[in-house]
Amino acid sequence: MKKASIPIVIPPGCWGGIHHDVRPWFPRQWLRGMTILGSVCLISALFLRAADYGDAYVDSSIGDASLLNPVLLSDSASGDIAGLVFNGLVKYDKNIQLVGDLAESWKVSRGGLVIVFHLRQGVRWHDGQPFTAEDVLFTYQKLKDPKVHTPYASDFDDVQSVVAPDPYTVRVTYRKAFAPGLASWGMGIVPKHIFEKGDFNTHPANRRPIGTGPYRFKEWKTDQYILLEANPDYFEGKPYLQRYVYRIIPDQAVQFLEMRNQTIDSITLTPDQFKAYDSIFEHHQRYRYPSFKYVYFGFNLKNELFKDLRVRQALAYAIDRQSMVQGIVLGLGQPITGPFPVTSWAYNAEVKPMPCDPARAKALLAECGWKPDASGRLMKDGKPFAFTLMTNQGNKVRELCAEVIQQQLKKVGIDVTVRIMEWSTFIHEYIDKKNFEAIVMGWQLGRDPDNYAMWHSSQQKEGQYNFCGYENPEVDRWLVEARETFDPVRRKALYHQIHAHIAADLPYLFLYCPDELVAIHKRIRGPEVAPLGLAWNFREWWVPKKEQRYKTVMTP
Amino acid sequence: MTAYLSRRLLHLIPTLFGISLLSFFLIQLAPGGPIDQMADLNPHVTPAVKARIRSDMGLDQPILVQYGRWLKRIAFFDFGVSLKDNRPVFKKITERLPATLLLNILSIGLMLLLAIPIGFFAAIKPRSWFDRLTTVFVFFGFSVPTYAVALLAMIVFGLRLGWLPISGLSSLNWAPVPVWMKVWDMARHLLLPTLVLGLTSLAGLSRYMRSSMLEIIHQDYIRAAEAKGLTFWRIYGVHALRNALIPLITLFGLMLPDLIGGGVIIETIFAYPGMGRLGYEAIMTRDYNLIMAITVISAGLTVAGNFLADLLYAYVDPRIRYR
Amino acid sequence: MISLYLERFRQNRLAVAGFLFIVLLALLALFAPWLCPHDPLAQNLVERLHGPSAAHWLGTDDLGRDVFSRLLLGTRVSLSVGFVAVGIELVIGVTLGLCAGFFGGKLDTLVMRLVDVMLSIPAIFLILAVLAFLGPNIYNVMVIIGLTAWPGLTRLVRGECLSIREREYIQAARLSGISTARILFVHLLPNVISPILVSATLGVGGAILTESALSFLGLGVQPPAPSWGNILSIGRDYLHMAWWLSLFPTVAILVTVLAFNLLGEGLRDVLDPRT
Repeated sequence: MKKASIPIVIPPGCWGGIHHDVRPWFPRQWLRGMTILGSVCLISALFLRAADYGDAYVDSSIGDASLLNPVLLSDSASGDIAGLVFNGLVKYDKNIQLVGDLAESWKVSRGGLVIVFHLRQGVRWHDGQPFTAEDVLFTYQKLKDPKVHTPYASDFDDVQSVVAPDPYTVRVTYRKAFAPGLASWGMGIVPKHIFEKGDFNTHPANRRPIGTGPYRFKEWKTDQYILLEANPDYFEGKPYLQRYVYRIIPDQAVQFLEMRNQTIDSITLTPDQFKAYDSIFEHHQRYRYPSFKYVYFGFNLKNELFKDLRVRQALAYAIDRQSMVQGIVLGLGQPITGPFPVTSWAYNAEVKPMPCDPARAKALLAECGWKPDASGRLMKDGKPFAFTLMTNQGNKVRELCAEVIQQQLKKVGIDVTVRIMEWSTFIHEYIDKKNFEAIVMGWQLGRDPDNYAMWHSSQQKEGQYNFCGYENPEVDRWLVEARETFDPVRRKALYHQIHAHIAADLPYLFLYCPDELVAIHKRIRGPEVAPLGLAWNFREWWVPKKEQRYKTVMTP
Repeated sequence: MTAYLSRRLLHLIPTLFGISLLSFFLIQLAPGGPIDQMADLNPHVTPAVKARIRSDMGLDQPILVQYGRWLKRIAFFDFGVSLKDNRPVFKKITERLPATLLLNILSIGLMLLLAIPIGFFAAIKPRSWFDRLTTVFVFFGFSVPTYAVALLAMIVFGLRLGWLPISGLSSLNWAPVPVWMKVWDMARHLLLPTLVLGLTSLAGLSRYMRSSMLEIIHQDYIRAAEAKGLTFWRIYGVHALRNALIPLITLFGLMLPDLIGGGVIIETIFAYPGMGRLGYEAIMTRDYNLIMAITVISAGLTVAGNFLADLLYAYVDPRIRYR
Repeated sequence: MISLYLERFRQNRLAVAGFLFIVLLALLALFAPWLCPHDPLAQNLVERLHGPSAAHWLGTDDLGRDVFSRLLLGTRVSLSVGFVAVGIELVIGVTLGLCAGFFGGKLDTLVMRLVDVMLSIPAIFLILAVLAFLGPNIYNVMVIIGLTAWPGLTRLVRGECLSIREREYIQAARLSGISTARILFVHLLPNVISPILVSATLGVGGAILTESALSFLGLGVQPPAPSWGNILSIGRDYLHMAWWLSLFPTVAILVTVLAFNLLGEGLRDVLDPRT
C-alpha cells in the first residue's frame, strides 16, 4: 500500500548490517525506547493516514476507442480502456519483468517447449461468473480462428496446443521454444460464457465489455466519454479511485485549455507545453520518463551510396544528436545507440554514442573517395553525394529531424533533399518495395525485446520489416537463440551483444528516444515514475477525502 | 402542381445514383485501405494475416463487383458495417445525427433571429449608419477563421471567466439528476458552439435578406400600399417582409449539405460528437462503408430537404405552380 | 455606362477601401521575396518562439523562422490559392452555365443533374476526402476548392441566361447567323457578368478561409512553404506562450477576406440595377 505522505521512519534498531563493535552513541535503553516509539508511530500512521477511497480520475484522449476487446483492438484508445478492464495471464512489473496476473505462477519445462500456468482461484468476471482455464482456452481459440479479425494471430504461430487439464491449470505446448511467447500471454483473457454465443467480431460485448480487471465498464457515450467504475472484488484489492473517465477531446490545444481549467486530470504534453510557465501547472504535477519509442535515420543498405560502412560511420559523426534532442524535443529525450527501449534490461548502456565530429566525418568520406569540389560539395567520379531523405507527412517531429539532418549534412558537403509523403503511399509504394534511399522514421516498441522481425536477414521480403536490408549472420544466430532461450541472464547477454553489433554496423543511425511527458492533477497521490512508465500502479493512486472533486455530479 | 412535384421526384433517382457513383469512385482514389491503421508497421501483423482480413472484408474483389454488391445492399437500406469497429454504419450515423441537427438548428435559429431584423432595417434605410455598421459587423464574423473565434471564446468564457464549459456536449453525472438540470447542462455546453457558428455565418443570410427586401421595396405594389395610406408596419412588416422571405427558402436548400456534414472544424474544436467529425475520421481511416453511407445519407437528406423547400416555395409563391 | 458605375462605386467608401487594400496586397505578394527582411525558410532553433522585437517585427515561430517574412511570402500563397481556385471555378462554371442556359433541353438537364449531385455532397467533406487521398499540396488545394465551387456558379449563370435568352437582341443575334460561340461569349456573357463578378470576388475570400480551415486539420498547404493558414495552425499549439503566432495570421486573414467581401458587396450594390 502506498501512502505518499508518511515519513518513513526506520527505527534505529532495525538496521541490519551494523557492525556490532561500532558502538552507537545512544544509551541502550534510549535505543529500545526509540524503537518502540518508532513502531508505534508507524503503526498509528498506518491507521490514521490510510489511503482514501473515492473520487474520479478524468483522463483525456485525442481519439475514441473502437473495440473494447483485447483480441481485436489495434488502437491505443481501445488499449487504454482494455488495460483496465481485462487481465492477461502475465503482466509486467515496474522494472519490466514478467510477473503473474491471472496466473499465480508458471513453469517452463522441456527447454521452453512447455509452459504450464497455474491460475489464480476465486477470480470472478465482472458479472459474477468464475474465471477458469476454459476462458483461457477460448481466448486462444479465438486468436487462432481465421474468421476473427485479430492483429495478434502471428504471436501464437508456434503454439502447438493449449489444454486445460483442470479448471485452474493451462498447459501450452510450443513447436519450438519461443521466449517472447511467455510475454504474449499478457493478452487480455476474454470470457467464454459471454462470447460463445454470437459473432466474435461484431459482438455487443465489444462495446460493453466484461472482464476481470480493476475497473468495470459502466458507460460509453460514443465520441464523448467512456466511464469505468472500480471493481470492489478485484483480486488484488479494490482500486482507490472510484471512477475512471476517459474523455475524448480531439484537439490538443483544447485539451491543454481543459487542463488549465482543471476539468481533466491527465494530459500528454508536447515539449513546449511541458516547459511552459510554472504558473500554468499550478494545480498539476509534471512527469517525464523515457518512452518506448525511438526515432531513427534509416539507410537502404542495398543502395550504392550506403553500402560502405565507413560512409555510414561518417554520417554518424556528422550528425549532432544532442543538439537534435535539444532543438526538436527541447532536451526532453536522450540520444540512443541501439534498437531497444532505453529503460529495458535489453538496452546495452555500455555502448557509447558516436561523438559529433564533422572533421572525422569528412576524413572518412575522403577515404571512400568523396572529395569536396570548389563549392564544398562532395564529389566522386564526377557525381555529387546527394540523396533523398523521405519521411511521412503529419508527423512534425520526423519532418523536423529530416530538416535538421539536411542542414547538418550540408555542412560536410552532402546534398540532401527532403521529401514528405502521405503515409499509405509511403509505406506501400516506397518502404515495402524498398524504393527509397534514406528515411527518417520511428518505431514503437513492445515490452519484450525480441525484434527478430526487424533485424533478421530472412525478414526482407515485401511487407516485412527488415526493409533496410540488414544481413549479419552472427546477429541472426543470436536473434534466434534469444528467442528460444528462457534463461533471463542468457537473454540479456545476447541482447546486449546484438545491441553492440547493430550499433557498430549502423544499418540505422539511431537518433533519439523522446520522453513521455505527462501532467497529472496534484490532488492525485501515488504516481511514481519507473522503467515501465507511470501507470503501473494506477490501482493504488488515491485522493485525500478533503481534496476529492467528483463526488456525485461532475460539473465541468 | 402534381405534375411539377412528380417531375421533381423523378429527378431524385438519377441524382442519388450519381452521388453514390461519385463517392464510390472517389474512394478508389485513396491510397491504402481500412486495415492499414491496424496493420502498417505493426510487427504483430504478418502480410498473411493482413491478406486474410482483407479478403474477409471483401476488399480484394474488383471495383465494379464491390460497387455492385454495395448497391444491392443499399436497396435494402443495409449500409454495411464500419470497417473500423464492426458496428453497423447506420447505427453510427444515427448516433451522431441528432447532435449535429440540434447544433445546426439552434444556430440557424440564431441566424434567423438576427439576420431578418438586420436585413430588414438595413434595407429600409440603405446606406445609413445602421446599414454600414451592421455590414461591417456581419462581414467581420464572416471573414474571420471560425476556429480562431472558437478558441478565443473558449479562453475568455471558459478559462478566464469560468462561465461556460470549454468543450463536449454534456457533463457526467453518476447520481440521477432531474431532467431540467440535464437540459440546462446541455444548454450551457451548446451556447458557445451555437454562438460561434451562428455569428460567423450571419452575413450570407442578412445580405440576402437585405437585397431581397430592397427588391421588394421598389415594387409598384408597395408604392400603391403607401398611396392607400397603410401604416408603415403593415406595408413593410407584413407585405414586404412576407414576400422578401420567400427567396430565403431556396437559400436554405443551398445550406443543407453543410448542415449535415460540414461542421468538421467546429466539432473538432468543441469536442462535439457530430457527423462532421465522423466523416472526417472515416476519411482518415479509409472506412469505405462509412464514407459511402455518410455521402449517400447526407446527400439524400439534402435532396429531400431541397424537395421540401421546393414544395414550400411552390405553395408560398403561386407563380411557380402555374408554370 | 462605365463611368456611372465607377461614380457609384466611389461613393461606397468601404468597398473602395477593400479594393485599395487588395491592390496593396497584390503588390506585396508580387514583390514579397525582395521585401522580406529575413529568409522565410531559414530555421534558427536558438531563436524559436521569440516575441515581436526590433530584429523580428512580428516574432519568430517554433522553428525560429521570422513570422513577418513568412506572412509576406504567405500572401503569395493565399492570393494564388484564392485566384486560381476562383479561376477554375469561373472557367468551368461560366461555360457550363452559359451552355445549359442557352441551349436548354438535354444539355441543360444533364448539367443540372451534375450540379445537383455536386451540391448535395457537403463541400468540405469532398475537399477533405480528395486531399487526404491525393495528398495535400498547394496545387491539389487550389484545384479541389475550384472544383467544389463551380456548381453554385453554374446554377447562378444558368438562371440569368434563362431570363435573358428570350430578349430581342439575343434573338436578333441568332437570326443573323452569328456563330454560337460568339453569341455566348460576346452577347450573352457581358449581360450576366455582374453576378459572376460578385460571386468571384466573394469566392476569393472564401477560398482563403477554406485554405486556413484545411491547415487547421493538417491538410492545407504544407510547411515549410508558408501560408497564413499553416502559421495560424502552428500558433494553436502555443496559445499560452506565443500569442503573436495566432494573432498576426488571424488579422491578415481577417482583413484580406473582409476586403474581398466588402469589395464584392460593393460591386453587387453598384451593378445590381435594382438598387
